[in-house]
Amino acid sequence: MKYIIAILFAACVLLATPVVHAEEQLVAVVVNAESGITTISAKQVRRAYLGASIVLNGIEIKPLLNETNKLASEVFMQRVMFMSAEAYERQLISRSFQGGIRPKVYEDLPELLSALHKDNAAITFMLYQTAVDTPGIRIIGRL
Amino acid sequence: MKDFGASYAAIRTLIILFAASTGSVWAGDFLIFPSITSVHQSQQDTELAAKEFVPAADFFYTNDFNQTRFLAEFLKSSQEAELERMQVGWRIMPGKTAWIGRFHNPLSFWNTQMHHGEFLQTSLSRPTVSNYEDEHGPLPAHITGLMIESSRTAGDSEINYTADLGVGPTFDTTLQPFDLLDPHNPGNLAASVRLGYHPEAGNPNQYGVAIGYADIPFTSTVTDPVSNLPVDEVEQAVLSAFLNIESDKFHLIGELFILDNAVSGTGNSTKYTTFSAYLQGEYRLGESARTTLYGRIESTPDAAKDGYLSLLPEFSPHQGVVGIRYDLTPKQALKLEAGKTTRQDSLEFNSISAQWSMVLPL
Repeated sequence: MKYIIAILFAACVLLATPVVHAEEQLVAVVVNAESGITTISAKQVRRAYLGASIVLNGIEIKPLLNETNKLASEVFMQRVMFMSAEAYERQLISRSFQGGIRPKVYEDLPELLSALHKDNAAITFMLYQTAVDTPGIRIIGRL
Repeated sequence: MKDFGASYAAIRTLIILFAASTGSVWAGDFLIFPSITSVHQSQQDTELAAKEFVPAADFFYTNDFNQTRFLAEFLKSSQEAELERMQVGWRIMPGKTAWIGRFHNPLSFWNTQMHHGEFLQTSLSRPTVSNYEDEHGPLPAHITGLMIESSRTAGDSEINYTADLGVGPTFDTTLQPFDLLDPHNPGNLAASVRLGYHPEAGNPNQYGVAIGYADIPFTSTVTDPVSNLPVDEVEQAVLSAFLNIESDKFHLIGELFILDNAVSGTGNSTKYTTFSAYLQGEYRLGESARTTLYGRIESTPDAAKDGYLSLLPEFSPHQGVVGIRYDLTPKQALKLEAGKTTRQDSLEFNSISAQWSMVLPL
């Protein structure tokens, strides 16, 4: 009987334990700590990354594409852009071909952070916990 | 295009920009759109036979230098070499850019969306009314001059407009746009304005209207086949409307043009009004959406009564195509297309075409 109770208890604990999947991760949209941009909505982020001109607090934002972390990219595409990375890339190529501006891609985190620190209009995204743990940046959106 | 030396110099310049685009201030977007197209037609004339197998590459480069933007596009194929676009833009304010150079005429929505990037368009062929000048397209596809682009968001939606003023094409056997690499024989005034509405900013769904004007001088006097009068100029006024509706599975793109062609010669002038329209529907199959079925119907019912359109024997007043596109990889596609065409010179034929296209870098 003791074993049965122990197994049932263990099963309950396992069922209650949250399993973190990619789609359950949160993405933070961040700026450098000196930036005048205070907040951004999911729609504004989506539009900015699709090439629309978005002005926040009097500043036209410059989105930087974070490809330094595969999970962060996947979560961003699923939760914010609502499309696959391939479909997004094709939209960007099309946008660029029409004379539009395409977000600059960063595959190296120090380079991405350096670009973010140099420009008060720049925004980027990263996993929420990464943003919390990174000094010198400020979270303006949690998506 | 006659001056191939200048063309190769343009290719060299773009390749140097590509090599430099891996770092430094020159780091911009450099894209190459290679394609191989094979066409088989049931009726052939000399011109058609020459189009059976066409390898091509479209070189595209764009970069930002603070508020300034540079854009260049160069096409090299087995049939031609042409500097398609060369523009320098200045960002006046957020969402507003002034361009100078040679650019796509915004009068045709298809023209500005796809142009020579074969990989970007789902179908293998283009609507005949939006064809390039040298392929008997009736509208100026390029203008050289000044262009203003502007967009403004209002709530969830976005309104954008494009206005341009510059030099349009001349006409010999087809329209001849002003060539930046061989800048003789400039055309006369051309201008257009396009207004577009996105119900959701950043989303490709769009509706809009455009108006255009072009004063097109002929390089020699020809006879209008409809009126039998000698002509050396056409003043073209165009009103158009377009729609582009996209979802995960469906894509619908269509345009309607009303063309007013005033053809004139010494002491005479004849005005022709006709309309032209096309509608293309696409459906993506399966979860991966790698396979797309599409069909397009297009018509210019009174083309034979229009003296200007009658000067373009390869213009196709009636055309229908069906096709399938398969994306081998996210940046590489195969297309197979069947079509039925009636040309302005009364040649009727069925066709079957295949194309491989991609975009580099992978």
